[in-house]
Order: sequence, then structure tokens, then C-alpha cells
Amino acid sequence: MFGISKPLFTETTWYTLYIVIVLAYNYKTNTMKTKNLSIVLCFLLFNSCVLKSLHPFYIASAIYYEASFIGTWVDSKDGKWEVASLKEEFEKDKEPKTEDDKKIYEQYKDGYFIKYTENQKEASFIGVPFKINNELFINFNMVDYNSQDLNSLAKSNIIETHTVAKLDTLTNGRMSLKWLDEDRLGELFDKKQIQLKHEKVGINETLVLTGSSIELYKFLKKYLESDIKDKWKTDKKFTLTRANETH
Amino acid sequence: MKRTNKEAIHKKIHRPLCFNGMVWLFSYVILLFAFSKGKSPIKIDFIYTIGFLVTVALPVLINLYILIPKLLKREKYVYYALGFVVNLILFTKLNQWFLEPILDWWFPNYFFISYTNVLGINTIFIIFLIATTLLKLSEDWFYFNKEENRRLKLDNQHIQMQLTSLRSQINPHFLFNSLNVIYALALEKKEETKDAIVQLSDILRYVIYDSNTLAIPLKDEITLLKNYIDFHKFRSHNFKNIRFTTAIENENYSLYPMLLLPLVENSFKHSTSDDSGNAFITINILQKENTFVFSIKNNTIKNEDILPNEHSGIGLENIKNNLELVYPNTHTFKVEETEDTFAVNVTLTDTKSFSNEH
Repeated sequence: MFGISKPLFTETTWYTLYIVIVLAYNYKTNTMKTKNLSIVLCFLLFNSCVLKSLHPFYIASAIYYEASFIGTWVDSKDGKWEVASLKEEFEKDKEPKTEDDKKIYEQYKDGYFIKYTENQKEASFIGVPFKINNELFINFNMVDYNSQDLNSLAKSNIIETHTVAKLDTLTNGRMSLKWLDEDRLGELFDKKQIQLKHEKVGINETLVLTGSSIELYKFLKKYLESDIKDKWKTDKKFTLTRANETH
Repeated sequence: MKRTNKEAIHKKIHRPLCFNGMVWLFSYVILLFAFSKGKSPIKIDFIYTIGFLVTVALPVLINLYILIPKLLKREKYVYYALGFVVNLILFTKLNQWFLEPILDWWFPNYFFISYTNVLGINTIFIIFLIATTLLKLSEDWFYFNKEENRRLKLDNQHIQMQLTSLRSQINPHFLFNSLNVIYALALEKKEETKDAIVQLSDILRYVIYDSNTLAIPLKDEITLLKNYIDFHKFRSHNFKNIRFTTAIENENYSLYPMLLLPLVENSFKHSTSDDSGNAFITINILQKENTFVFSIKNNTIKNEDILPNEHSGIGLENIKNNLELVYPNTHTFKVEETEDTFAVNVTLTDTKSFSNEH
């Protein structure tokens, strides 16, 4: 959710921008206008159009560890992706393990620790790979982000959600990451073709799925098998190339 | 045969189209409300609800039209319970296995995701099967109760009609005989004629007013018999050999009125025609607790001058019919006839219920 840039000219962005302009207009001084505008723009940058969920998109039996994703990658926007095995990271840590640590280990031992750096801003995720119909997906769950710009009250208002991206291996060893877009699901809801637990939250009415992991996995499977056009069309897609190949 | 009649009545009263139309329309609305999570139902909710309802309808219809009539109503409770459980489990599993795949195949771009889980499906199926079973039993009970009440009313009317008919046969019969007696006394210009008329008047008062109740105390019936016997003594002065003995524990013992008089009439009719001086009538009444025994014996003559006609035997037939109607399965009626004697024994057992009812 944080640390991922968002193009400004999406449908929800226009709406939010309109609110920003109205709010800004009501402020009397130019200083106030500038300050307010910057706050809302930050909010828009954080609030991407990636589909978010309260629960992971995978079920335990679908987890599939893909070793080829391990390594350092760069994308076409100069973003840097450092992907490590969580199991190895965990084993490297020689600190005594608590029961909670062991529980987390069991839960995420087949996952990745992913550090994404964009414009010198870092965000860390736990990525859990899973397969549906032989297609690989990664469930992203943010664990840390560059939060020095946020005060403590803002931080306490943020919840960590799950997002899902489809991981495809391209030619020349490159990989493609495409997040499932909120707009695609919004279209299904608009056409009344889907019954999936969800809520619309905040001033932007951001879609947040609230269904269980079983339901989300079932949805992804059906979505993958559907003949919906442009179902993987998204604003949030990256083509990754191994870092050592580019330098 | 009885079962066939019941089934015929059931078929007559059960309207499958109306019953199922109401049940499934109501069920559709309830399920639609449940599946749309209390929000306004959308297109996909209508589709899913129809699909789900079909999978519920099959076990419910099997239960209503096969298991209940073939097993539950024939008191095969264990087999019914077994069939119910198998039906429930089988169709619950079929729903879980096939409903969503079929819907997904039929509607590839529809996403039936957050509707039910295994527990929810099990719960819905259990509720539907139990609720529709209770509904069916309630429907059956309602109609059978209605039918039973109607039948009881008809039976009651029929019995009342029969009893009225029988009484109307007794009274003229008795009156005819009595008038014959008084006529005979008047012809002979006997002093006792006026007394006989008074006694007949007492007897008729009893017959007209007291006997219209469903039960009278035994003492009243005995008074009637005594009056009747005394009345007949006017007719035949030579007829002295009449023994009337009673052993009664409770003189207020309830008895159906005019039950015994036809038997006494019958004895007098046959005995008094014997002018040999050997004529006799012996009457015994025994009452103890809930048992009542009436026995009467008289002589008969071999070459009766009484011409048989269509009314002879009416008294015996009437009393038999009365006993069948008023004391069903709690009486015996025995007739013993020899060359010289004719005896009837009536026993009433378990008359407590009759006393309580009346």
C-alpha cells in the first residue's frame, strides 16, 4: 500500500483531486493551500489502485516455493527488488526464538522477504508464492515502509492489507509482476456479477475485500479461468530483470 | 383397506401444486434474503438462489412424497430415520460437490464466492428438511383432524337417527300391547280397569319423559318393570307364577332407558297365552360394581296360537341393536331356547365409561 507510486489520472484519482481542489480553494492563504495539497497528494500516492484484502489470497495447500524468484531485480522505473528466502533469513538470525517467532516461521517459511526501493524510499514485504492452475501468484503483505514522513497518529491509522500479483517468467530470464487491479473487480461489482464479501472504505471508497482466504482463493481461481477481457490490465505492473545482468 | 382410505383422503385434501408453490416461493424469498446478506439482492443472488433451491428441493420432495408416506406414516420409524439421514447427507454432499461447478460452467463470468460454506450448507439442508417435514405433518394433522371431526359428527348423527328410530319402534309397539290389555279388561268390565289405566299412565310417563335421557338410574328402570308386571297381572289373574328378584349394590347405577322392557314384553307375550297353569316368568337382576346382569326365563307352548307376523321378534332385534350402539364391545346377549323354555341373558361389563359419559 505504501511505497508504491500511483499514476494520478485514474478514475478515483480524478474524484479525489476534485475534493482536494475544493478543499484547497476554501483555504484563505497560499501557504495553507500548498500545505493541504501536499498532504492529500501524499495520500493519493500511498493509496494505489491495487486490489486490497484483509486476508491473504492463498490457502496453505496452494503454497508453492519458487526458488527462481530469489535474487536482486530491477524494474524499468529504476526500482530495486531484493528478494530473499524467509526461511534462510530466519535461520541466519542467531537471536533466541520466541514462540511467536516460531509461529511466524511456520507460517511463512516458504515465503520471501521482499525489499522494494523506489526513489530511495524503501518498503518491505512478506511475499508468499502460491499456484493456481499452474500459474504462480505472490501474496504481498507489507511489514515495513519508509515512514519518517508520517507522524505517530498517521501511522496508527494504517492497517496492513494483502495484495496479490501474478508472477510470470518471461524470455531472457525476466519476470513480470502484475497486481490485480481494483478497477477490474469494481467492474464486476458494477455489473452485479460477483458476490464476494467486501467493504468500501474512506473518502475514496477504496475497495477492500473482507472475504476469507478460502473465498479469495476460490475467486482467483474462477477469475483465472474466466474469459473476461483484459483481466490482468493494471496500473501496477513491473517487468523485472536480474540486477547483475543490467550492471 | 383402512390405509387405502386414509391415503385416498390425503390425496383428496393435499394439493401438491398449491402446497409446493407456497413452500418454494417462501423458501426462495428467505434464501434470497440470506444470500444477499440483508442487502438489496443483485442479479447474481437471484441466479445462485434458484440453483441452491433446486438442490434443496430434491431431498425435500423425496422426503415429502416418498419417505414420509412410505415409511413414517406406516410407523417404520427406524427406516424413516435412516432414510432421512441418508437423504440429508447425500444431497448436502451433492450440493457441495456440484452446485458451484455447474453454476461456474453455466455462468463463466459470474463469481459465486461468498455465499455458503460447508457448515452453512449443512445447516440450511437440516433446517429445510426438518421444517418441511413438520409443515407436512401439520398439514396432514390439520386436514385429518378436520376429516375426523366431520366423520365423528356424521357418526353421531347416524347413531342419533338410529336410536330415535328404534325408540319410535318400541313405543308404539308397547302402547299397542298395553291398549290390548286394557281393552281386554274393559271387555270384562273389571274393577281393575281404572287402576290399570293409572299404571299404564305411569308407564307412559316414564316412556315419554324419562326415557328421553341417555341414562337413567337403575331403580327407575326397576320401577318401570314392576309397573309393567303389575299391569299385566290385570290381564291374566291366573298368571301368578312371576318371580322378580334383584340384587343391587347401587340403585343409582346408570342404565340406558327402556333397555329391558322389550324382553319382559316378549316373555309376557309368550307365557300368558299358556292357560295350563304352568306358565312362569323368572326375572333376575344383579348389579355389582361395574357389572350388570339381567336374565329372564319363561315357558313356551309348543303349538302357539299366536300367529307369526312381520312384527314378531322386533323387540329382540331392537334390544340387540340398542346394545350394539350403546354398549359396543362391553355386553353379551345370549338367547337359550328349549322346547319348553325361552331364556335371555344380558350382561353389561365395564359400564363405568358409560356412566362417566352420561
